[in-house]
Amino acid sequence: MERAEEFELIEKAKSGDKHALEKLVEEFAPMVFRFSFNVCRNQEKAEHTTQETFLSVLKKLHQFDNRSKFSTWLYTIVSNHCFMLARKEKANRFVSLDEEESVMPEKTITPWEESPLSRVEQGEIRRLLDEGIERLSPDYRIVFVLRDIEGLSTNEISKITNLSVPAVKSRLHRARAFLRNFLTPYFAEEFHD
Amino acid sequence: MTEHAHNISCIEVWRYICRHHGEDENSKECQAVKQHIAECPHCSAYCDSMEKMIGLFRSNSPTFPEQAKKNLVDLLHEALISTKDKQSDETGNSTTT
Ligand SMILES: [Zn+2]
Repeated sequence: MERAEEFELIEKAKSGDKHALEKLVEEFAPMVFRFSFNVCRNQEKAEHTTQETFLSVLKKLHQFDNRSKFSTWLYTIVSNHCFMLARKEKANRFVSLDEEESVMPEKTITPWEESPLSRVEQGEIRRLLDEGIERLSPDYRIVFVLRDIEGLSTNEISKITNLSVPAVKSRLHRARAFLRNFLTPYFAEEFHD
Repeated sequence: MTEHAHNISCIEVWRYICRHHGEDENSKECQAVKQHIAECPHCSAYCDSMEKMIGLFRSNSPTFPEQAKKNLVDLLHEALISTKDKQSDETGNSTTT
């Protein structure tokens, strides 16, 4: 959506235009849902967070000043909702990524299969991805999803999460390294040959 | 672990990736890192597996269900109506007082 079109739509929604609000849902709810799902790995929770996010949007829309992108603003709101939800989970399930050791690759790198989807069953892949993400604490999850699934820059992520750019980069690196190490036994070449 | 292209080691390459995440495309250091990765079987396998890991998450992202969209629109309509009711109540009160 063009910036001008987005601006017009938001202005209409602010004045209580039902159709403009519907259009905003149409345009942005899939993004909010995808983000929520990837952070909390649960369809019901993702739907709930998406609803909470749009209710917050409705309440705070008059505060949105069009200086930042609407999507950036949405990511900030949905991140907060996901963060609150994830904080209720037991913190002792989360892996500690403070030491460099915990994110260093193995001494001899294990290459992954040409197409990692070919041998592991679809349901099993879902379960492994869920398990990997659930081991990460919320601040690592959010940074990983914003960057690697949603494709945002580290600068944008820094604004959304209130973390410094170096802190975003460090969390991203650790989250990626952990997920790669965690999934390697299931998708590496040698484990199947 | 190897040390060859431009005399940087794999560990330096990984630390570099951690610092920049591909947002430093034109620097000299980036060129050296790219060359190292191209020539080093460890680092190329590492980067390749990293890309595949990210690809798995991307390709397993769900789409927003139609029913969920309908529920959301209904919910927002209700919220919108109750906000309008509240506002008109408030303006109603303020004119009478
Ligand atoms: Zn190397």
